[in-house]
Amino acid sequence: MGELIATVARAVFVTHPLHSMTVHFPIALSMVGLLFVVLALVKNDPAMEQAAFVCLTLTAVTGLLAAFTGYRDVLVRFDGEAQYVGAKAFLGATLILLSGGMAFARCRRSRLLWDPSTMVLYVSGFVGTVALTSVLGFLGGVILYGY
Amino acid sequence: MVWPDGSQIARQAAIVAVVMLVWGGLFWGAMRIPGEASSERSAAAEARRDARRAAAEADAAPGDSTAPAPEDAPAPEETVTAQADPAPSPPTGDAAPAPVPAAETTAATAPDPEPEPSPPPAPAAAADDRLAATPADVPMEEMTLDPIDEAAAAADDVGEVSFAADVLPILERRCIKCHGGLRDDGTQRIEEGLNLLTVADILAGSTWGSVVEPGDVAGSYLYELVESGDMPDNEPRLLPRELRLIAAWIRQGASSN
Repeated sequence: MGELIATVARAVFVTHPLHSMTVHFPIALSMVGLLFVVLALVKNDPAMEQAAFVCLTLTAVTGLLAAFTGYRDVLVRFDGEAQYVGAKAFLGATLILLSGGMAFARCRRSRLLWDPSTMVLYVSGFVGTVALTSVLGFLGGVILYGY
Repeated sequence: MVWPDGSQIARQAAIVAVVMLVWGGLFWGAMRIPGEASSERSAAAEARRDARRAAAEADAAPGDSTAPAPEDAPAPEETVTAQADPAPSPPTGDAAPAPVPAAETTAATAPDPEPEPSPPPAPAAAADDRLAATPADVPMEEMTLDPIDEAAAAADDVGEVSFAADVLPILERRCIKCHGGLRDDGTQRIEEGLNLLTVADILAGSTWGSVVEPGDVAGSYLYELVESGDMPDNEPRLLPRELRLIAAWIRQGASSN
């Protein structure tokens, strides 16, 4: 039993890249968040907007987790030499700041989506998070699989 | 729900545009230097592949420049003549490149005892000649480090490398599945005629020729494939430290230690 636990622990924490396991959460959450915002606008449904806000918050949290694991993986698995590591760090930091900032603003002011003076900005933020996670995911694929 | 009017949309769109411009400028400024270095490395790798492709097409039709060359056939090694024993014969299929006459290719690479004056080559041709030449043919001041040369230089830091202890585990983990491993029915799978289980098999090369030139990392097609990420096919690339070990093993003579 102890050997099995040691094997699984080694697989998870040593053999497997942790970033690959965590990076899919912000990608999926940002895309679902945008979907909920669009649905909220189309259906005029506050529940959808609330769901989008939750997705946005989780995007920031899981993005932070992905950043830590990415930093660990690039040092442990790639000896700090992974391709596009600078670009990914810049884009990842932008994603965390954008999604975290938007979540903080939405927390302070719950009518960001329904206020005509902030609606476009708020939706643009969701589009931006999706764009960032898409590019980050693409670059990750290039690092692992090439073009 | 109240939708924004035109002026509100314009104002918010302007804010988004300004933020994107500032952010784009920051990103461009931060990425500019690594981006240029990366594009130079890509250009060097692309030039190397073009040279190999041209050599493969030339070898496929010796004496007949009008014969069609296989489009997707892997390029045989241009340094094959450095071996005392030529690489294994290619298959007899129509797509296979013809074997290279040793005398002809040796004449192309060996120094001419009585060189005749010739007009200077065009810049592109000169670049191809330099890529095809052996390191001893290239003047020191023209030598630049491309990714493979950098890896070869870094391989010096690895120290003594053992095939059995260092290289074979990498090959078993990432390559043997297609090059020497067993299928479910128990038969051996050897894609492209390349078996990577033993040093002798590796040095025997693939269907298309030699894949490892002992002591010459840049001239080893196997290393070029794994360094570029073309192999393993449809799987994650080898890690930098794995590449360094393979480069060091080749550089240290590709011995069966």
